[in-house]
Amino acid sequence: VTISDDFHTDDERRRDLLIGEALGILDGRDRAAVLAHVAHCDRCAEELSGFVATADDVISAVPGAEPSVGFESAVMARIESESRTRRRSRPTAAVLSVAAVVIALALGVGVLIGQLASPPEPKVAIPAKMVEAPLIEGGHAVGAVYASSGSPGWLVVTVEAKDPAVTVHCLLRTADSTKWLGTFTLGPPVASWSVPLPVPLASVRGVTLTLEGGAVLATTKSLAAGPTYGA
Amino acid sequence: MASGDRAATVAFVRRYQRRVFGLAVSIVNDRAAAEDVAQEAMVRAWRHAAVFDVRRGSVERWVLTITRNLSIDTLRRRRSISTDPMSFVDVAAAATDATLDERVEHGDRRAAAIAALRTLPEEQRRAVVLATLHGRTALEVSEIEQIPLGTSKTRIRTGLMRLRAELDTERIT
Repeated sequence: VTISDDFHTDDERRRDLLIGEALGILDGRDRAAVLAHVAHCDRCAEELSGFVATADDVISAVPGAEPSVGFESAVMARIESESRTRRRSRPTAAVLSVAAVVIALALGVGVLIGQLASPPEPKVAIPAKMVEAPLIEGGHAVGAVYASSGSPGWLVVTVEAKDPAVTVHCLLRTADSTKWLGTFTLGPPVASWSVPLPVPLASVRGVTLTLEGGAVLATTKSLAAGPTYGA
Repeated sequence: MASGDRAATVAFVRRYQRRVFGLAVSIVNDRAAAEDVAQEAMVRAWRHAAVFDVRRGSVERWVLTITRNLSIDTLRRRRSISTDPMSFVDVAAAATDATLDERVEHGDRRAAAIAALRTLPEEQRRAVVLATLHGRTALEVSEIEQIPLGTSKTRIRTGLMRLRAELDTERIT
């Protein structure tokens, strides 16, 4: 039984999963299953888009409210402070590109990033595959990593949160290298974080989470050794 | 930051600060905490502007999604009780009631969403707002509303599907 087959056997559960994904309230395993499925299923991808749009409409319906007088100055002070730090540590071009995007945002103009000019690739109904591995910290499982095939594939990390919150870097181990995938904040009660998989699923060996400074927070053994779902 | 960049950033902050703060205060129900959330949301939007993807929707929706997620994180960290999930619907409706139909007719998406929410039975509306705005899972909604998990899932699912149908009708007409 593939994820795709399984997904369509119970229509209420299918909708609950799509709605959960649209609202961002799924746990890591369900999230990975949904992402793996919609990468190959036009019907569910379209339905998911509809639920996301509806959720956005509800969020947009909340009326605005006036913040305190010093709000704008406080935001600008933080942005200017960060901008100075960036200028010291990055090439000028990078800072300018951010400024250009901010200008575009302020004008309400969408920014074309990535491959918008290319038509989306047609989806074909090939079964998705998902692998799972526990995240181990000090000999104990503190979460799990789920990786799915697809274009793109997805990596979903679910891990017990730290209180107070800590900044965590996610490193992907492949056969021949270790790639930094991103940085996220781990706060209570449980943190789930996801990112498109930049390499084919078959080349993924494992995931390591590190703290600021490089200390290892948690790591997986080989994903290939864990449970596999789908074809 | 060059003067031109600064002017653009100020324009960005001024354009979205009311919406961002309004959403934050609706969720965390505490002005001071909402200001912290709103500040962080504006800074994160600025910081990640380069990776904003127009395919994901409008800038406003993107900034509001950041705000919503930060607000939910704050609620969970503080383990606090949020505002009544119905209150924003009532406040928004009261503020716009006289002109709601007219605004919907003129294609105002915000008014259409309020009008659509008001068509839902109260228990569905509560479940949808708790899940959508407050990030509550079906299990958490069942605990808050003191209903079985299956009932909670049904209310969220049915409510969101009805809302979608209402709003899709608005999009077509």
